[in-house]
Amino acid sequence: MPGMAVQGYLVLSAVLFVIGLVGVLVRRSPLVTLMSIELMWGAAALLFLTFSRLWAAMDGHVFTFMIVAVGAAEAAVGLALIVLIFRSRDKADVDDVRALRG
Amino acid sequence: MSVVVLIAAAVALLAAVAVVRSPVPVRSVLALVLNLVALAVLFIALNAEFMGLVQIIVYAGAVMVMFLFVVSLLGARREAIERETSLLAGQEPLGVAAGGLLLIALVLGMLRQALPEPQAVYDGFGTVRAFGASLFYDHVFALQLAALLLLVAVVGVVVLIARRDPGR
Amino acid sequence: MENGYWLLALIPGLPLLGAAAVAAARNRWSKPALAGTACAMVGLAFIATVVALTRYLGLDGAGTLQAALWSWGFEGVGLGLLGDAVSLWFALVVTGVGLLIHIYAANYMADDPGYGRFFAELNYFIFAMSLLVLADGFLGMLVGWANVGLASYLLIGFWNQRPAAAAASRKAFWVNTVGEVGLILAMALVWNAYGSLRFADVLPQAGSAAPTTLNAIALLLLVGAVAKSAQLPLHVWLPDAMQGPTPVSALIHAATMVTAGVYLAVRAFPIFEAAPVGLPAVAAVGAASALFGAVVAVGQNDIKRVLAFSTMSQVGYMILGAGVGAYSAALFHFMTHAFFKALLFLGAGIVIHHFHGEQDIRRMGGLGRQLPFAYWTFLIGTLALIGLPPLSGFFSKDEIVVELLVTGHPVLWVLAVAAAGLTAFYMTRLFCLVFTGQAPQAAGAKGRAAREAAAAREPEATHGRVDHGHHAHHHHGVHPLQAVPVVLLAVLSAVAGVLWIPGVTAVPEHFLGRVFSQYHTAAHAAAVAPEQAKTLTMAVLLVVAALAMILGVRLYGPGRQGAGPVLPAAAVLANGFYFDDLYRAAFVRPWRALAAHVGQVIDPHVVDGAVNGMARLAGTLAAGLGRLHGGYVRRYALALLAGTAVIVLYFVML
Repeated sequence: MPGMAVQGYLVLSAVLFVIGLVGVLVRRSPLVTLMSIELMWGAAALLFLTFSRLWAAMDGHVFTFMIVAVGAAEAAVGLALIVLIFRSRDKADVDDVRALRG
Repeated sequence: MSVVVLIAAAVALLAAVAVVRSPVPVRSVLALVLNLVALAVLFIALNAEFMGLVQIIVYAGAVMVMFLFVVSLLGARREAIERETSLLAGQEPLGVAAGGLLLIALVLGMLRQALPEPQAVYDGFGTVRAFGASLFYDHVFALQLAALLLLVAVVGVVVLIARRDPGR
Repeated sequence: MENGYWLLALIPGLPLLGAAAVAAARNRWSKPALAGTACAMVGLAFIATVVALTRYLGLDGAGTLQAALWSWGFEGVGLGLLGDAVSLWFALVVTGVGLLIHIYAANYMADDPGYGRFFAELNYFIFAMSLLVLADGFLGMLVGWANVGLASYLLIGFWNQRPAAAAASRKAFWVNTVGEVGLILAMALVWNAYGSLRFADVLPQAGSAAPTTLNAIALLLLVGAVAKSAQLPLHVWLPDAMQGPTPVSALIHAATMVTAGVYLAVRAFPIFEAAPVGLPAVAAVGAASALFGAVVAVGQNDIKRVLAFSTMSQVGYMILGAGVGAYSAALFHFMTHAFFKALLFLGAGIVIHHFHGEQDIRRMGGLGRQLPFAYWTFLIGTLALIGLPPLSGFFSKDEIVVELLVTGHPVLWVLAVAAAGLTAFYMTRLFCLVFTGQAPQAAGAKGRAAREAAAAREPEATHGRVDHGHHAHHHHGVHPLQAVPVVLLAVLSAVAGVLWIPGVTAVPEHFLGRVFSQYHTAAHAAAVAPEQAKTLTMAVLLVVAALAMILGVRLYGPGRQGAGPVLPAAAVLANGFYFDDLYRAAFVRPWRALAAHVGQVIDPHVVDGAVNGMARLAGTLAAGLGRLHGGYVRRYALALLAGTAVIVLYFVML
């Protein structure tokens, strides 16, 4: 496996994923939340490509391409929502959005 | 064992941590860009040249720029956007703990598997041609759906943001 | 065996139809139409019975008429009708006497607003009773049994506005339910032991079950018989049943329904014979009831209650006869008793009218001069009941008592003779108090007011009148619709004895013997030679009866003071040896207390508490769980992650 052993890539992907996940949970800024999600996307892409190289099949590439496309779409819509919700507020804090309460 | 790859891995890791821990959103964005670039290096190391370049051009180039726009739209005037203290008690420790748990689970799962040796890559693996062949021969349907998804996203954003001009 | 004899189905079927029709049209048709329909249905049923009878006689020895009505596909369970000697004998009496009483009631109940309802219920009773006796198995009999109980309930409580009548009908129903429980349990055991509920399957192999099983079946059946026939100790409902109209008392509580127990004892006689304690138990119950009824009847002052206890006593004779194997004698007595007891009750109806609803015999008297019709017919009934020759009661009662001696039961013989003596005494007392002596002085306003107050109390006062007058004593004749049945019953009471004159005719024995000889075990060796027994019994009975009658006339005859001497222990006798009070204390009060407890404590607190408590629990849970929803998305995400981590860990560890 070029560069590192396969396990190295896998573990790296897992770590990046968990870092992103913790970021979603811990940070209260909506922007940082979105970015953490992007981190998770990236980790998933790494995983796909690793296995694609392992099996020598191009299907993993196609999937990564989809990740990019979906990630872009999601970022766009998410940012639009953030702009809408927090434009008029003093602070941008996710915890302030509690309409689902109860 | 390539040194470049190891360095790229380390950079990706540190940059990810920086994204999550940085109090200033702009710095988070920049850290994320760094992370994406490091990942691109890794992609290229994995013979996925096309994907690595797509990552840089599309992701780091376009999506991150979008992020920067919004960051500046929302909080350019302020240093920190969040409230001082969290409203939810114990969220941080619990979040870290849960994440740790998941990490252990994932790593355990990954390392227990006995993986076969990587197969030999043919010439042209990872090139645009190979990618295009796979995309259009094997995964046309996924392509169409992705296109539809992007269309929906564009329309959705326009619907969300556009203000009706009164009087016009 | 003649299968598919559908004529049998008409016997219960027509009265059922009549009941339905009269019930539906009870507010629309005229009274003659309603009564006419009811009487016609019973009359046609009677004709059907006669036709079936002739057909049956044409069959050879063991032949029976059968009609399978309904099958559920199982062997041994189904509804069908059986026409053999026993069932046709009973059906004849039920429809025949039933017809006469229907006709009587057509005039007797003429002033009652519930006329149509009465005839519907009466027809319904005939249906139920004929189903009971014609059923070809325990199941059909049970259906008839239960419906007869319902008809009795409806008819006892016919004047349902009166609390006493309502209470009496309930009491009858409850006591009969005890019997039905016994019957159903017995049926379960029968099914278990023989695999079928049909008489034709069970009875021939009655002896094949284990002795304990047989004992259980016999005793449980006996419980049912005891309840329905008002034998000791389940007799308490019969005196109260006199709250119903007099035709009801005549038909149901004298002639037919109370004899259902006799039918059961005779029909299932192979079981009773095969069970070690079967026949002795039956005989014991019969003897005890015969004696008890006679003793208590002596101390009764209500004319209908005297007759009620008399019925209990006479049915006791029948049961006693069945208990020693004298089945034909018992059934013969059933027939004659139906005649003269119905006669006595119908006559009592006339008497009660005449005295404007007064039923206490101590306040009656002198009716002999005023209503000779009632005098002579009642006299015939009385003498038949006492058992004087040549009236029918003599022959039938005699047969039973003789058999007691022949089969070697001297103790029972003595008891039966004692009861016969008491019977003569109380009937003489009854007759004398009502028909001889001075008519009660009722001149003046006070008397009339008292009479009218009595009339207001007793709905029976307004029945059967031909004219309304304001005389102190009415001299209305008896309406033909009432008179003809009474006369017919009197004639039958008088001459029916000709069926079984010892040494000359033995119609019941030959006729009914067709059934009994099929399953009868070897005849018991006679303990006493039949001839001697007959002579001895006849002589003793006549002497005892004569003595009792003389005593009765002496004490209560025309020369008596007021209502004659008060008997010793009158209160005890009047209260029936306090059986009612015993049952009230032992069963009714604890049960009522339990019901009150359940209704006031358990139901509101425990049951409602549980239900409401669960609702409260749901509410509390909901409120508590609702607090989990803070609306914080990050919390949700954390929960998701934690769960996912656990699951992944689990699968990794696996």
